[in-house]
Amino acid sequence: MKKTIGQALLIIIAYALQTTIIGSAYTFYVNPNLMIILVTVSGFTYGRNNGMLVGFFSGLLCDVFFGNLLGPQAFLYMLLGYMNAKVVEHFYSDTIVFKYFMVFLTDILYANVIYFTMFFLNGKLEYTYYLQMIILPEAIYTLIILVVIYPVLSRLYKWLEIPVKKERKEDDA
Amino acid sequence: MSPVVKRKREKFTIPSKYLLFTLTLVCSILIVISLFTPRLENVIDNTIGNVVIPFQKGFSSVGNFLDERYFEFTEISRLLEENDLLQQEINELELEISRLQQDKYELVHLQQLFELDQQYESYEKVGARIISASEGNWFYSFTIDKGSDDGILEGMNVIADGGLVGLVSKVGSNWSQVTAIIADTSNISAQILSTEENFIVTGSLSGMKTDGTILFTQLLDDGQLQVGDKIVTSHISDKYLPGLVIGYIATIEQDANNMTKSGTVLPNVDFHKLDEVLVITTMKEEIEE
Repeated sequence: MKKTIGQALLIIIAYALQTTIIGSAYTFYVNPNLMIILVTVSGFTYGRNNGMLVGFFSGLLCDVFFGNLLGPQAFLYMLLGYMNAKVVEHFYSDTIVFKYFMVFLTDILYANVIYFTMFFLNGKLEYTYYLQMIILPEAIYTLIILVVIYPVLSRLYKWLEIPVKKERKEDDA
Repeated sequence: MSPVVKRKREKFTIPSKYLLFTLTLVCSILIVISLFTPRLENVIDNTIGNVVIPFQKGFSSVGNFLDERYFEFTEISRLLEENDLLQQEINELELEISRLQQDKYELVHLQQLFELDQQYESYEKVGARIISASEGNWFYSFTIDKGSDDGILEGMNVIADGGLVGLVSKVGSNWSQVTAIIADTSNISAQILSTEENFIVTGSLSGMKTDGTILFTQLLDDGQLQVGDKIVTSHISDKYLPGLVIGYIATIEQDANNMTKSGTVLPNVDFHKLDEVLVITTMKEEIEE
């Protein structure tokens, strides 16, 4: 219960931060992607199912406020959460650098999917331009933000996992 | 091998492939629903919007406050210097004003000719504040703090600084989403003010990133076209009201077919520093001419 509420709040706060303070309304430069950080980190701390669900809901938020259809971003984020968690589980790796690398890769994958579906198929063929101007800078910014907030985030996730004992007992009774 | 942390088994654990399958199904159902029944989509949008918008408003005001303080802090010394220079300029400009007043009579006459000024003022407008921008780096849309409660409808035109900003593309009860003309998904039917030639203006992410311009295409021209020509929305557009200023022509290129021209347009609105906009509540269908 605590885990669910905590994560729901985290998604909303990350989304609100993403769209306001670090969002393009104020800077118009390339922004880091907080949603990717949340999806990937929750994926490799709590496992595949959790990564998928967090991905689904954060993607759904993006769909609601941007885009004409509900669903495509939810699907994309969900798949990213799943794949990311699966890879980390597969390698049994707790190395922090490996996790950073996975976030970096996930972000690049996300940006590429968006580029190929929405831009490349729309006749914007200058891949190297978008790679230099958006895809790589976004991934690097995301990585920097991740390195800064990862210690806090992982501690928060561990704290969320400790069940509230009093509530459990009341629930059972 | 790295230590594996043992976790307590939870009561129900769904195998992840089933969850993956279910969520994929949910996504496809959502896509189909939003394609065919916009009403249900509105319900979902509004519910989620009501939860998230208060957070965004809060963060947005904090961000604005920090932005302003930082701006004040950095600008004070520069402004003092500038102030001295501007005082000198004022004296020079006052001389020029008297000369320009004569030109004004001519301008008023021309404006009457185009009937631009009257149209702008006859539209009913609602002021709105931008509370959040789109989440990614790929599209430019933003959310404003007025919605269906304030009489905003989908398809209304949004202006700022006397220029076209975009189109309301989604409406919630207390928020609505505006897709800007610089987004790659926007296409606007436009015309050159002087020659009244119709053509298409398209948003461009790469153009905005490099030199702040968007694209225009399919312009028939017999040689009168010049860099700096004013572009307004055309009468034949089904979404945009006629006569809203889009921007000015920045570069012109001849197309390969040798008949039409394309190039770039400098938008009239400064999208870097947009925080308040006006929504025109008059719709295109309502205008009687």
